[in-house]
Amino acid sequence: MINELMIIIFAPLLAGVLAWLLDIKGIREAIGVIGAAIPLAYLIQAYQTLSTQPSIQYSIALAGFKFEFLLYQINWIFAMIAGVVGFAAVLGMVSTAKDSYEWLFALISLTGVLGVFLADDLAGFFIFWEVMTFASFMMVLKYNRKASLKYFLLSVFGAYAMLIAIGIIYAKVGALDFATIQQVLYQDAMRGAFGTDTLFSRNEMILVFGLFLIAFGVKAGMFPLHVWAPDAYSETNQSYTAMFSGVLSKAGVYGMLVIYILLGTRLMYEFGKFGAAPKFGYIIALLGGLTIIVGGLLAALQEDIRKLFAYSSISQIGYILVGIGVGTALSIEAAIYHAVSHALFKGLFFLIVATIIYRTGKTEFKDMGGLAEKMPITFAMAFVAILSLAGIPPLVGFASKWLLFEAVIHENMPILGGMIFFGSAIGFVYLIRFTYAVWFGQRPTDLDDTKDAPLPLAIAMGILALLNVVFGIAPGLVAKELNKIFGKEVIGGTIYELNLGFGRYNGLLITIWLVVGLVIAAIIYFLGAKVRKVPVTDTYQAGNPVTMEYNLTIRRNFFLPLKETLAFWLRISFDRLYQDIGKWIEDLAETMRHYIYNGSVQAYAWYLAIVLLILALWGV
Amino acid sequence: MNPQYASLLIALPLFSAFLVPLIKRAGKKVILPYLTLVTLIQTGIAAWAFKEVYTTGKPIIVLAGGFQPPVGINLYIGHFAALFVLIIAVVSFFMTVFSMKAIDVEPIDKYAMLFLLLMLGATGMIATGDIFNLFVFMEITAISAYALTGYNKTGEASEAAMKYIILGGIGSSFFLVGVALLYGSLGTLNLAQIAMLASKMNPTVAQAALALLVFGLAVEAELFPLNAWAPDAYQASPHPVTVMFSAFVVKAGLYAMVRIVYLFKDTPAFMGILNLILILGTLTVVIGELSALRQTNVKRMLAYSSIAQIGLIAVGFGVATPQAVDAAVFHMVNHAIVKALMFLAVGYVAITLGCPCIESFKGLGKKMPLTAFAITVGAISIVGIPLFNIFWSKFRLLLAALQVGKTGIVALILGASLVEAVYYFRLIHAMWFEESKDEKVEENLAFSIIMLLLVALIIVIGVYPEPVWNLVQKAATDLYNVANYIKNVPLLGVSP
Repeated sequence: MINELMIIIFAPLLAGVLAWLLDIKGIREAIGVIGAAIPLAYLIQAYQTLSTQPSIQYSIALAGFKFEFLLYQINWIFAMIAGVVGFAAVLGMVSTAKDSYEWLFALISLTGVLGVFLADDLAGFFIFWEVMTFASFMMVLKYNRKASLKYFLLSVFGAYAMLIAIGIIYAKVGALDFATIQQVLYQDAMRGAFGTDTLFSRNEMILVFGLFLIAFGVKAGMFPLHVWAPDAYSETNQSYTAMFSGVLSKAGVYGMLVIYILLGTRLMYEFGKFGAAPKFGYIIALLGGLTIIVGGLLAALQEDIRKLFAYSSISQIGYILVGIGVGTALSIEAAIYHAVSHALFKGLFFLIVATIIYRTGKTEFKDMGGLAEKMPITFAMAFVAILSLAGIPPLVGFASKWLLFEAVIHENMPILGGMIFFGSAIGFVYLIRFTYAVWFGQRPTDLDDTKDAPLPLAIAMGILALLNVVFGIAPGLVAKELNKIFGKEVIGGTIYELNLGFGRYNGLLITIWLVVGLVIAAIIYFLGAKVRKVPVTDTYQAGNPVTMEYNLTIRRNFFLPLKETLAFWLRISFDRLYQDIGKWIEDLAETMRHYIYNGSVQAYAWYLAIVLLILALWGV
Repeated sequence: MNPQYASLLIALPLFSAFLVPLIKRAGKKVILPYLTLVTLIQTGIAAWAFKEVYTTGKPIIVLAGGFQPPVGINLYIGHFAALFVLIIAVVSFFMTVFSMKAIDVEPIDKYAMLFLLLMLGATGMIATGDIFNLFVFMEITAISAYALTGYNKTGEASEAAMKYIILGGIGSSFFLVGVALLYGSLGTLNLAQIAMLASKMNPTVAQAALALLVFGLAVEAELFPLNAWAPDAYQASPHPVTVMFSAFVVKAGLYAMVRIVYLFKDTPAFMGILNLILILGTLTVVIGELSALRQTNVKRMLAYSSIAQIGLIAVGFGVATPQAVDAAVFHMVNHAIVKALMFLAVGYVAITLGCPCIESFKGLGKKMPLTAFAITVGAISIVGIPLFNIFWSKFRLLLAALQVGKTGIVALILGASLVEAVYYFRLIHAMWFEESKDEKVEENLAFSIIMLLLVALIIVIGVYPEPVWNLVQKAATDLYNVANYIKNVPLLGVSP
């Protein structure tokens, strides 16, 4: 019998290759869906096993390396994220994937990300990391070369940073498996605490941490390494983006946790604490906070729905990084909670975007409007997603954001707290636009024949929307699993209630009140509230007449004033900086080649003479 | 079978080359099939030698005329030579098949002769156990390579051949001076005996001799800045010849260099020369990769990329720990496979669509799907994506560099991979996602089979690198374990 961990990891890969080889419409879709369903089924089954034993372990020897795999509480949660959202995304692809190429690489990237989560040694971790990166790169390459190259170069840059860090650790520790590394570094911290010489010097710790931070920061889309994400997320199959943004970015988040697991004690010893947070964690948190702000502001300025959600995704990952960075048990649980909810609502959002594009072929706000009437199911899904992202109870987004606020505020960290609050506010700003410009208002005439979501997409959205609601009403379900990580009750309460001791949130109670409120509102409405017609242009000009020169409708340049205010800051672009560096290197290389390989054999003969001269000087 | 039959590895191509004028009388159509037959037999012999060496674990020592070395001349087919002679024979065999379509310039009989001599020369360089013979085989290789470079008879080809002749000529003359210095001070030309006596040599003379030998071989091994002939020669020579250049001619030069340098392991000159190789190798990688960035001629781009990869191999040899040598030899094997595939596929595209410029490659996925697929796999492999063969050799090289704390080399390998990613993925994008108006082309069955074979090899090694890794480790041991090398050669008058 093949090991279940291997099945979980390799089932999608196998299905992808099969689907690609057979390439028969209908069959390849079926194989793909099965391939994504198998890991999910096994993961659910593994839940039973994990309740009786702490972990499932497996190792294989290959190419002179021993690859270790381990499934335990933390990565089970992450693998479940991958399983559920991956499955939903694959269902969505049944409608939107155009050929077997997409099936192949989408499923390979699922294998990659599952492998990253389950690997228990750095070699396997790295290899699956590369598989994941490469497969997702191929998904983007098909749609846009420039975006994909930017993504790939930054990712590979990150991956190589990780490889160097792994190499340094390997050279010092002599092992690659997590358990040994964790133990050795822990002992090293002890050694330092007793004043003896440590294995790693201070500079080496800074280097290793910095390299890992770059590696995982790139994948998570952390500022200022986020520049690939808006382009890559938007320039691919949007069903796939549900997985790309929902799951693959979580690999970066998981990587940050791996830093804690492997290096945490040693780093804490070396650099100490900043308030309640470890100093190294505070760096992560601060960058996370900046990511929230930058991502949020830029999201508000986008005219393309794909880009809007890409930036929004970056912004939301910022929250998770803040939670991880603060580094208390509560904040880490909150961060993982937000990772779960981000995967659920952002996965849902991208599936909605996929549906809209699939049915209308349009991606920009100016071409949309009034779709709620034509696509009621999709609109209902969008409603759930919007409420969830905006953090409105009783949806899962509220529960996780609330936990994050509490965790940060409890540790008296006003800067981070301010950043999170700002992010929430800006979240409303861009969601308003999505809500109104796409679903309400006047409908362009060419959208009059728009149909609702195709069945596979509808099912996929349904799964995610349902989970958004369930985990929102019963947040204790997630909290219970999170508590198992630390083996104690960090987040107290019941299934419906989260109780931190200094704050409580009851999902069910709020739901009941909400329903009651809605019923009352409905009664009032049906008893005959007056309906007032509002012209489309009457949005927010605050009494000023709308002129044609400054006509900001919800569909066009809605946040132009914001853009003008931020003009100075928007000129600073890391994206442009990286591009300029790239271009500069290429120009330099070409010039150099032009002079060195200049085609003149005399010059070449001189090279020989010079080398001979050097040889002579060197010792003859 | 008597191990002495291994001398056929040299004798067969040599006599077959001389037979070509006779075969020509039977008609021009027979020449290329004859060539195929010869290389097939050669492959058979090489496979036998390979099996023999790897099953017995002992090298085959061929004594010319039955005289014992150092009086007689010997061939030394150890683990390394057995592996590479086999690679040479197999690649040559594939190239004879490719030549049937790729070569339409007369005189075909001269082509066949030169082809066999090139193969012979490279085989000899790797198999010989005598430094003067090494020089002879190097000259055979080089001269047939000059002629083949100019074979297409275009102005470009003649110019490239001319450059190659001048630089190669300078290089080999200095090599000869180095050999003379060695012979003058040691009185022997046998490699094993040189190794034995090396530590007794006057250090200054040893250093001078070694410097001259390395200088001479570096031209053949394409180390910067002695490789200026290479891009032109790669681009101008007939496509099958380019494959041979990249797959084994340059590697024979590199091997000879490393073999000679390692013989001097116990002398004070050794560390200095290693540093020199490291520096040259590093420069080769940097300049090679950067030069490839903006090439619009795909064949030339591959040439620069090939040079850069050779630089990586040289860096591995320059680190010179057992692990690094293992990795370098592994990279040699992998690079031979991948570049054979790439140059074959690109050459095939060039003869089908007219030129190896980037325009031909736009929309290649639709025009020639299988060829495009092969190029894609090769490109992905070179960039170093896991589950493809080159990943493992690059990774091994990384680990080896880290073990001796050379983080600079790690950065070099990774930086090179980044640059490779840029230009190879541009190519991949052009092939699959750019439109072209041309029609689909019927792909040749024989070439398709060869390409698929190589692709399969890349992926099999990528997924399951263990068997090849074991082979390669043995081959590498053959290189750096000089004491064993000396012991294996039955030197006259020297007790073991």
